[in-house]
Amino acid sequence: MKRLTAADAIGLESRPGAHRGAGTLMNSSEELVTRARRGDDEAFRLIFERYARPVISFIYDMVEERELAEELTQETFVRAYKNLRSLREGARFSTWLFGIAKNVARESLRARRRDGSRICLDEQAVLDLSSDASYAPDGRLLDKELNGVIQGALGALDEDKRLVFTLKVFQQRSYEEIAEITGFSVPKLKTDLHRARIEMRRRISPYLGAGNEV
Amino acid sequence: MKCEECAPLMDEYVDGELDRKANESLAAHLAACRSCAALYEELRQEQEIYAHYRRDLEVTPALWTAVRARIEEEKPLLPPATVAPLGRRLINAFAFTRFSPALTAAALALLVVVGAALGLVRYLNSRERADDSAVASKGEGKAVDPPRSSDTAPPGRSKEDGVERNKRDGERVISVAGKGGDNVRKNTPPPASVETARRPVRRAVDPAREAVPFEPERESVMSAAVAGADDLLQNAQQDVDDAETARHVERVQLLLRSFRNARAVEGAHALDVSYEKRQSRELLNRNIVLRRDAEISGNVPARELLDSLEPYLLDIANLRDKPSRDEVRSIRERMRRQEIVAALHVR
Repeated sequence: MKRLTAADAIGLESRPGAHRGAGTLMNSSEELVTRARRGDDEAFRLIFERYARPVISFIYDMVEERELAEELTQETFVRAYKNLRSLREGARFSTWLFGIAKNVARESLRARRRDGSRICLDEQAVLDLSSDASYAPDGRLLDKELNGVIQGALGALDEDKRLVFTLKVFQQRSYEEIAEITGFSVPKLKTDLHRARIEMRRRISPYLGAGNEV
Repeated sequence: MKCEECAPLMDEYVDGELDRKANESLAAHLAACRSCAALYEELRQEQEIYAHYRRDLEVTPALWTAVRARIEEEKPLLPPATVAPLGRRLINAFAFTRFSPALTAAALALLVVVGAALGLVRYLNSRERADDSAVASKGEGKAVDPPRSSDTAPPGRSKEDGVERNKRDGERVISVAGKGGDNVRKNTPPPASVETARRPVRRAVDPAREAVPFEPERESVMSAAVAGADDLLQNAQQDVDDAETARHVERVQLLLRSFRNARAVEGAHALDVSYEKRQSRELLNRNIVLRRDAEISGNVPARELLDSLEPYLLDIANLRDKPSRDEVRSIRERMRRQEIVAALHVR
């Protein structure tokens, strides 16, 4: 299993808990944004450093391709740079940035659908993964394979459910933030999230041994 | 709360999205209802599995290079950055103190008033001296010494709560002054009452099982190490102005103590550190954020302290839920060694 590093952990930064009552954090992000708005490129670089990992992770979960995720992450930050001045005073920067990332990812998915170039990771592909799956002696699926199973199951969700599931489970956003990022109502996102969990559970359960029952 | 009310709220409960009343009500139901508790446990395990999901992704320097290059291309097309009005800039300059704009404006006004009052006092004093000089020279022809301010501390030094701050060229250096003067504080054993409180409860451990055994000699050393760490953290806390960081450090202290004191539960095959792992992940996230804030604000003591905590948080976060004896021991050994070393680094 890949060890959690500080770089990985910073991806959890967008958790609601990181902002709740965190006067130091909010003012630091606000300060960076204020400086970046005034043309301070070093401040924008620090913003990039802080948010690049969660953004690329989120986009990757949506588009399922690493190189494409890198390109779209670039696009996200360039758009953020260009539109910093349009950010409302007092608005939460990370929510706004994820809104951009969501738009960029969705545009890409739409373009791929139009081109017909999307490779659907359907049920069969997920089932095929099981033939290569390796199990530890206690029945646990080894981490690398589990990653593949999760990724496959995620790719099989429809876009709305994948969006909501990723933002909640992997990015640890609150319902309120997800509603702001996606434009969905809270009831809709709760329903989508619930259904996404059921579908993920159904797809993942067959590959989990005694140690990882869901 | 009944089961039929509980089930639909379970997702939100796991997500931490319920309000306080519903949260407490559901938690109380889970304590009494086995089937709902089992459902909750399934959802919790599911979350654990997703928490292990790792993408094969790196944020490379090349990514920033590409972003920067595109920004440079876009710059000529963008309108010039607007400079905020002077009033807004002044308020923003104080934004790092976390005051609201209204409070910041009030603070500025107060500063102006205080400054004016000081100026007036000095003016009056100088007038008084001038009058005194005029009277003295008229009467006796003697010069009058200017008044001396009493209790002026030597320039560049101030003492506070036993911690001496040596201000050199704007640098703040943490020093620990013990009773003997500028001594580096070494590991001092805690007072007896504290030591008693820290003594772990001994549980019967089946040597045939892979539980982490109770080791008395290591325990006393660990206690001393944690005591040393407590001193280190306490002293550093005195120099760390940020209340947020101080609270975070306190939580890390509690986590390290909990990790040090974790024991195999009777009947279990290995040490269960799943709670410490979860806490460590949360605290690691917070630590990184606070460390970067300290870097940005130039708070060197805070940054150094947070830097020293991060490796422990990473190691504990990376443990399996039921790690082997050796895995736990190696982290505890490092805690013991490096906390002593860290204490010696305090100057």
